[in-house]
Amino acid sequence: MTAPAESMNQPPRRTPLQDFIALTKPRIISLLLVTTAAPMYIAGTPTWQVLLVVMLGGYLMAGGANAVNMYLDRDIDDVMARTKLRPIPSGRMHATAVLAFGVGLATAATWMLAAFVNVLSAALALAGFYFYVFIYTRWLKRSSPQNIVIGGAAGAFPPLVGWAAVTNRVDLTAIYLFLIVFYWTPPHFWALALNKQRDYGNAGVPMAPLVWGERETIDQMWWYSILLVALTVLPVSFGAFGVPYLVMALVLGGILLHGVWRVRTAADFVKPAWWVYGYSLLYLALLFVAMVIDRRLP
Amino acid sequence: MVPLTSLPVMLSPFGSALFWIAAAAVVIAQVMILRSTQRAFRAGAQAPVGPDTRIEPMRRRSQALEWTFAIGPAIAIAFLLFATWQAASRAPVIHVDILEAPAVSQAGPTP
Repeated sequence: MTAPAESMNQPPRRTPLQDFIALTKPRIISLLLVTTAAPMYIAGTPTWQVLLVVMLGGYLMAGGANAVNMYLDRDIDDVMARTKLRPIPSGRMHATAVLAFGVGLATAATWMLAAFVNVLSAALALAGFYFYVFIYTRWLKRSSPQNIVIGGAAGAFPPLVGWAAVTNRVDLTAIYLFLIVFYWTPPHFWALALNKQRDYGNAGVPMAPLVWGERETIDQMWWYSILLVALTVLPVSFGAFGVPYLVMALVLGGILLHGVWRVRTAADFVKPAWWVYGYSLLYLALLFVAMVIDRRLP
Repeated sequence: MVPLTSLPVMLSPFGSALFWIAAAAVVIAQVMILRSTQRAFRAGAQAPVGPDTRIEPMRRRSQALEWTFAIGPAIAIAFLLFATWQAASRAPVIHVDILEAPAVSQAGPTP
């Protein structure tokens, strides 16, 4: 089957609704929602109403952050192949409208979580929004090769939101969930950055492979992965999870380490790095599912 | 009746061994990350910037700030390990009898 000639030469035609949905980056948010919902079932047994509000609030908050991100990055989105078809660089949406949309979503999410769940979950979700917009996008992304190390904290807020929605507090297990996502981020995004160096270089984004070199970045991917797998088993030591989770965490972590080792030892890292990028998404989702299964086992 | 969510925690020796093995891996990995970061800073400051990029050389940026980004998480990890050890030391072993209440708590895994 061949693509129509029009789609090969022009940006895809989209309705305004499709563009608004695209601004929220729904594919990325799906993983964030897994890391929000799973902690709710690890922490307790939420009602379906609370689950629904947290999922909707989480989507709106993350979607708002993504829209504001597209507003702030509109200059570099135009020069990166994978982002130049976004609504602003392709000219389908006005930048100010995108900013208003993003801020509106975040405001609605804050109100929804505070009114129908609790203030702590709303505050944590808003903190994640601010961290992503101001610390990561506005400051670190274009100034530091460790942008996604520190910026990874933005993506680590959803587990805290889910946990706080059920317990109205943040304890040691919740902090572990936060840190697991935090330490998962470098190997995941550097696997992408290794294969998208030209794009990032053209846009002036100092990703680690461009500034530190490929070897050093891959070395750090390896050590971050070891740290991550060790972190995933530590909650078992204080009884947060049991042996079923321990086994699943070690198996999933072992596969991740094997993948990163292939990146480290292969003559050409392109394919292994793409594999790590894809598997790490699955890894994080399955790890959180494993935690829920462990808590739900009789 | 005791809820089934009160799963038994790790046996003391196993929980303790697990903590030390995982903690050792965390510390070694964190040290290696810091060493790699130090090498990366040096390489980044010396490496010429490619003609097809808009990346600024590392030397123009604040090395102190970059070190803060590297050391900050390491300090957080140290506090986490301490808190984990304290929690593991306090964690009770809960024997669950799903037919009879209540549960009996004993001293948990201790170092």
